[in-house]
Amino acid sequence: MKKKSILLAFVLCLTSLFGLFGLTACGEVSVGTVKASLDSLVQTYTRYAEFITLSGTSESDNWNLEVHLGSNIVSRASGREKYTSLTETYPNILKISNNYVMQNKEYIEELKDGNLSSGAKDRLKTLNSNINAYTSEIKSFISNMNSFDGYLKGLQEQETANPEPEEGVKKQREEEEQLYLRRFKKSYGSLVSKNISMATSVANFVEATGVFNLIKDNVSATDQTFKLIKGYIRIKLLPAFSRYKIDRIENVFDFKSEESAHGDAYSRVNKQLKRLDELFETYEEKLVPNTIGNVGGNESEKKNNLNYLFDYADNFFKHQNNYLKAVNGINFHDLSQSGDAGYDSAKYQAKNRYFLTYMDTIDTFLGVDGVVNAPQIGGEKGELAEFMHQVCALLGI
Amino acid sequence: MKKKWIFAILIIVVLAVVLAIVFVNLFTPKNTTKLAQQVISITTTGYLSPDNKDNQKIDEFMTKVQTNPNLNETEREQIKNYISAYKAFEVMGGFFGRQLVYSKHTSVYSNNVNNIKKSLDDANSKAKAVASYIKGREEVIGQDVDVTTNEYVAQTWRSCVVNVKSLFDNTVSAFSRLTAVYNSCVTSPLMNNDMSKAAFKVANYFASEVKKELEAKDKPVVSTGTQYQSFKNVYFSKANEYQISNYQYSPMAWQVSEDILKAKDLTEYKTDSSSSQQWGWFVRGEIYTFPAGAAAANYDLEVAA
Repeated sequence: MKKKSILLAFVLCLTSLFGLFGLTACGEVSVGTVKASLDSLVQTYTRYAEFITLSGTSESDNWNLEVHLGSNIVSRASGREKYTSLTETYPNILKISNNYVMQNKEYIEELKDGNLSSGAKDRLKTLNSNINAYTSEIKSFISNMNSFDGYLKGLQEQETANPEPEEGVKKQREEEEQLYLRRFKKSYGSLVSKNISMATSVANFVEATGVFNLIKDNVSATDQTFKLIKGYIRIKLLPAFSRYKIDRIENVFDFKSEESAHGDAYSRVNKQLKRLDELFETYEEKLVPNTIGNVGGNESEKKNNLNYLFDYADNFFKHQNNYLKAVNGINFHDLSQSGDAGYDSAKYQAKNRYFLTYMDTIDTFLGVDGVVNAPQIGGEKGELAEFMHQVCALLGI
Repeated sequence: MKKKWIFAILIIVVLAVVLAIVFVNLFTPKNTTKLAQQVISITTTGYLSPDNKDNQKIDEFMTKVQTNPNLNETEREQIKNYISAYKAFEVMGGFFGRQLVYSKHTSVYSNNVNNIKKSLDDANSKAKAVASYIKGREEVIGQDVDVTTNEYVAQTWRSCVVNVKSLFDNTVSAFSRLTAVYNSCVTSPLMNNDMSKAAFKVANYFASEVKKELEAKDKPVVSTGTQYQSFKNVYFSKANEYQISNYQYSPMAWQVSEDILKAKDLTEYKTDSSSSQQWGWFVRGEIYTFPAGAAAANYDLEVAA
C-alpha cells in the first residue's frame, strides 16, 4: 500500500509536470499569422477611416496616420493648454510609431518561417500579440472619443445657454470637464502606448532576424543602411519619451504642472517632465525625418562609423532600460498622495526604498538642470541628449 | 488501513510542498535587490554615509589626530591615507548601490553575495566599535585624565587602529567582489571592454596599495589614499559615473586612465587631460584610433581577490 501511494504521488507529479511543459510549447506564431494580423490592422484603419486615416504607399516608404478628433473636441482644444497633448504630443508620437510599423510590414511579410531563429520566433509571438492588442484598442478609442465629443457638445450648449453661471456651477463644470478630459486622455494615451509597444516589438523582431549583423559584417555602408539604423534608433528611443509622461503620469492621474504647494519631489518631477519635452523637440527635429546628412569619410571610415553606431546604440539602449526601470519603479500616483501636501520624498521613500536612486537615474538620463553638472563629450546635458547629439554627428545631421 | 492512508496523504503533502518550493524558485525572478538594499542602506544611513554619527565621529577624530606631534611621520601619513580612502569608499559605495538596483543576477553574484554582505556588516560593526571607543575615551568620567593632551589622543589612535584597519580590509574586500559582480552583469560590447575593466582594475589597485601602505611599518607612505579618492571622484561619483558606462567613447576618461596606467609610480597621475578639440575630433568618427584595451593589457595590475 505504501509503495502504491508513493508511486501514485510520483505519477501525479509527473503528469502535472508534463502538462505544464506541454502548455509552454503551445501557441506558436508564424509569419503568416503576423501577416494576417497586420492585414486586419490595415482593414481596421480602412473601416474607421472617418476617425483614423492611414495614408501613404510602400513606394514612398512614408506613411501618415491621422486621428480626426471630433469637431467639439477640436473647437474646445483651441487655445487651451490642457488639451495640447491631444492635438500635438499624442498624434505626433502616434505618427512616428505607426510609420515604422508600416515601413517594415513588407519586410516582415516576406520572411520565411524556416529561416527564423528560435529567438526571432519568440519575438514574433510578442509582436503578434501587440498588433492584436493595438487593433482592439482602436475600436475602444473611437468609442471613447465619440463619448467625449458628445459630452463637450452638451457642455458647450450649457455654456451658451448660461455663459455666466454661479461660482458653484462654474466649479462643478470645470471639475466635470477635467474628469472627462482625463478619461479621454487615458484612452488616447493607451492607444499611443499600444502602438509604441507594437512598433518596439517590430524593431526587436527585425533585430532578432539578424539583418543588422548581416549589415555589420557584409554590407558596405550606404545612405540606405545609415537610414535603416536611424529608423531603428528612432523607434527604440520612443519609449524614453512616452513611458514617463504618458504611461506613468497622464494615463494614471492628473498632474497639474501649474500647482506649486506640494512636497519636495513635486518640483523634481516637474523639472524632469519639462526636460523631457525639450528633449522630445530635439528628437522630432533631428531624428524623426527619414534623412541623413553628409556622413563623410572614405568607404572604410563610413563602415567603421556605421558599425560603431550599432554598438553605441546597443550600449545606450541598455542605459535606457535602467531609466525605464526607474520610471516603472515609481508609483507616481502614490507619490502624489504621500505626505500632507503630496510629493513628500521622505514619506514615499519609506514605502519605496529605491525611490531616490530611481529619481537620480531619471535626472542623470534626462540631464535635469542643476543635477547633472559633469561635462559630456559633446557638451550636452544628460545621457539622452548626449546620445542624440552623437548619433546626429555620426549621421552628418 | 487508516494509518496507511494518512501516511500516503502525508507523502503527497510533502511532495506538494517540495514541488511548490521548486516551482517558486524556478519562477521567482532572480535579481540583485537584496544586496542593492544593503549597499544603499550602508551608503545612505550606515558607516559610509557622511550623515552617519559613527562616520562623523571617526572623521572628526582622524582629522584631529592626523597632525598629532606624538605620532611619527609614517603614522600621520597613514591617517591621511585613511581619511582619503574612507571618502573614496563613500563614493564607490554610492556607485555600487545605484548600479546594483539595475544589475542582472549572475552566478558571480550568487558566489559573492554572502561574502559581500558579511564584509559590509563586519565593516559597519567595526565603524561602530571605533566610534564608540573614541567617544568613550573622550568622555572618560571619574578618572583624573586630561583627554585633550596630544599623548592621550595619540594613544587613543594607537589603540583603535586595529579596528580601523579591519574596517578598511572588509570594505576593500567587499568592493573588489562588488566589482566582479558589476562586471559580470555588463553585457554591452562597449561597456564590457578592456578599458572599462581597467577603471575597476585601477580602483582596486589603489585600494590594495592603500592597504599595503597601511600595513607597512617602515615603508614610506605616499599619498595613494588621496589619489584613490581623486580617481574615484573622476569615475564613480554620481555626476561622473557615466564615464564608466560610456567609457569607450569618452576620450577624457580614456586619457585619465591611460595616464594612471602609464605612471607606474602613480605620481604622474593627472585628472585634467582633455580638451574640447579631442571631443570634436572624436565625434567626427575617428573612434577606432584609440587602442582600446592596449593599456590595460600592458600593465599587469593587481586585482584584489
